[in-house]
Amino acid sequence: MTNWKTKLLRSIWPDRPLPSRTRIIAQNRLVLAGIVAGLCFVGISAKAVHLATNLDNKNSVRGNYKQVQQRGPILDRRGRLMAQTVPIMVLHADPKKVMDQHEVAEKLAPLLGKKSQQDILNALSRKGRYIELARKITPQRHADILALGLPGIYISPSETRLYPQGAEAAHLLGTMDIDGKGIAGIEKQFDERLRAGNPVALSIDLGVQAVVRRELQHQIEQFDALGGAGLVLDVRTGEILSLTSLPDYNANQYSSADADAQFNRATKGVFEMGSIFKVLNSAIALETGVASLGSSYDVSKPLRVARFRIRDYHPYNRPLNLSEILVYSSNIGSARIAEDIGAAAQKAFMDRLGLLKRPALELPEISKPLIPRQWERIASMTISYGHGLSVSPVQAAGAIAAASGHGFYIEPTLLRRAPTDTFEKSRIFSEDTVRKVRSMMRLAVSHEDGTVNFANAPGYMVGGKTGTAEKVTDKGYNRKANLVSVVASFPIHDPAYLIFIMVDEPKPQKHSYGYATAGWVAAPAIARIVTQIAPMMGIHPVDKDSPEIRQNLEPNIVIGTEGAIRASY
Amino acid sequence: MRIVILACVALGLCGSGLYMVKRSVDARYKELKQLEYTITTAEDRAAILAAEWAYLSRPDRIISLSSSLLSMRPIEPDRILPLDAIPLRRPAPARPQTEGDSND
Repeated sequence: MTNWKTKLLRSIWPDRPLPSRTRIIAQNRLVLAGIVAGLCFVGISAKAVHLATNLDNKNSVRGNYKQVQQRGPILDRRGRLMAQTVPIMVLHADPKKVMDQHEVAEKLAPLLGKKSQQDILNALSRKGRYIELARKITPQRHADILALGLPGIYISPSETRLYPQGAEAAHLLGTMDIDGKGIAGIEKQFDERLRAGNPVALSIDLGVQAVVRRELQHQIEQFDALGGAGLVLDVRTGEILSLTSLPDYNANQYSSADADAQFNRATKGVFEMGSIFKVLNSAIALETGVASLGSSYDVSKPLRVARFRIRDYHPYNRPLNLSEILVYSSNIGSARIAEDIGAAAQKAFMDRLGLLKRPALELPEISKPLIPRQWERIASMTISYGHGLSVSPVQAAGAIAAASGHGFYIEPTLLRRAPTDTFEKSRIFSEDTVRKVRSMMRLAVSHEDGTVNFANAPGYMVGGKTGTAEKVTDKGYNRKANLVSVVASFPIHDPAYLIFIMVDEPKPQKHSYGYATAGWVAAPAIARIVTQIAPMMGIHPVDKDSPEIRQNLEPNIVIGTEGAIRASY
Repeated sequence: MRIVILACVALGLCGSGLYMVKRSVDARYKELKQLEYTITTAEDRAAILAAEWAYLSRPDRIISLSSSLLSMRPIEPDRILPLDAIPLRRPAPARPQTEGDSND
């Protein structure tokens, strides 16, 4: 054997060591094995301690027991429930495990009430392993069904969304699909927040909401109208206290409501608002200084502008001043004022009042306004009395709240604001301008020639303005189909709330002497709403002749030919 | 040898102690599960009751109930006064000072 071969063999298979060394080697090996085993035990114990102490660990059996988060409730501004998720029991079947379909159908049908045997048979012959037979099983039914002992029939817990207020604010709340995802209204807008289990507190006051809905419904029935919209806005914070669209539907049965009922007229519908825009027109005229309360305008002849003819409902043979134009609601006068203001200035104001862009309201169902392509002299003249610019009621209310409130524009919101919350408000009109505008709106209610007399609620100082707009059809304006509205602010000496009521296509009635104008259709609802909601909101009636109130109203307004109307607020 | 006996006793004590701790943990865990179940059912019941209360106290129902059962109407404005308008107490008439009244 050569030397290198021996070396290689030795390195693989060494010679037996000397007996004196064997013992030492064995000892070393034992110690090494002991250390390795010890380390293993330390590792295992450390892991065991770790698992035992960390209960929330996802890998431990005891950790992570929490169920799926229940969807948060929707509340009104006073914490009353508007939507709540409640647990229910669902009866379902697995057709593959059902032994005798006829027996199942025969035994279950009497317990399920509405469903016939045939219905159950049809359901069982469908494909799939999960067929829902009934939801919302009562505990008694639950026990009865279990007692039947049918294989393939199961009852398992599930949940459902309840809207305890029924049709109240249904448009606002929206609905969810079968997988529990919000698909309309607040349910869609705040889906993530609600899914995380957080409540959403709305600015809505259910009491105010119910009053507005009831009174609007009453007027719609009285005048055989197609529908309507109602809105109450807090002019100091922009919070919407009530948002109603009629016809409506039970929020628990969204899918069975027809499209007209599902349509939210207050936010999704855009309309030419008619004469309520004259409030804005007067405010802009006063703010820009192109007119004062005494400025008079010739309204004796209809205005011819291009192919339009601007006419008045009642013709006047004498020049009217700025206040008379608003109180009597003269289209010709308003158009002449708009001419003085100028199209560019008017457009700039409308823009700052949020009328030219999509509102930032917290609802998916909102529409963009329809703005004239060319905003020039003619457009500005018709827009002055509310034609040619279509906006949604919520936009109109937000804009008019600035002119008839405290001069600030605040984007209307559906979320409750805490007293400490800060929000964006931009001054559009000066204190002086809004005081004059409010005084004029008060006169439209209190003066005998005003158009909103029926909105008067003694003690609550309501100021308002009517609007009657012909509806636009494919062939132009339809004289027979009107959209009437009233916007009112109260108490007018220090406005707190703005109410907007709109009624779609009211028909002339005997009890209204053949009238179907805003003053007859919408104004009475305002008076009744004010007398009911003022005590709820802590607004006390006042004496209209007291000096504190007088000093907040303009003393020198001339209405009619008999001189100043100092005494008639 | 004594050390071995002591170690055995200590081991026995530790073992039984550990066993007892384990049992008590199991019992508490069961209790915890029971409590969790009670809480969940209570929450579910509370949710149902809250929904039912909201349903029964909905303004629409209250309005129709009160209009049929009570003879209540919106308050006339001349019947509401702010609190300040009510003189709560007459100013006390000035009492003639007598000698006994004085404290000093």
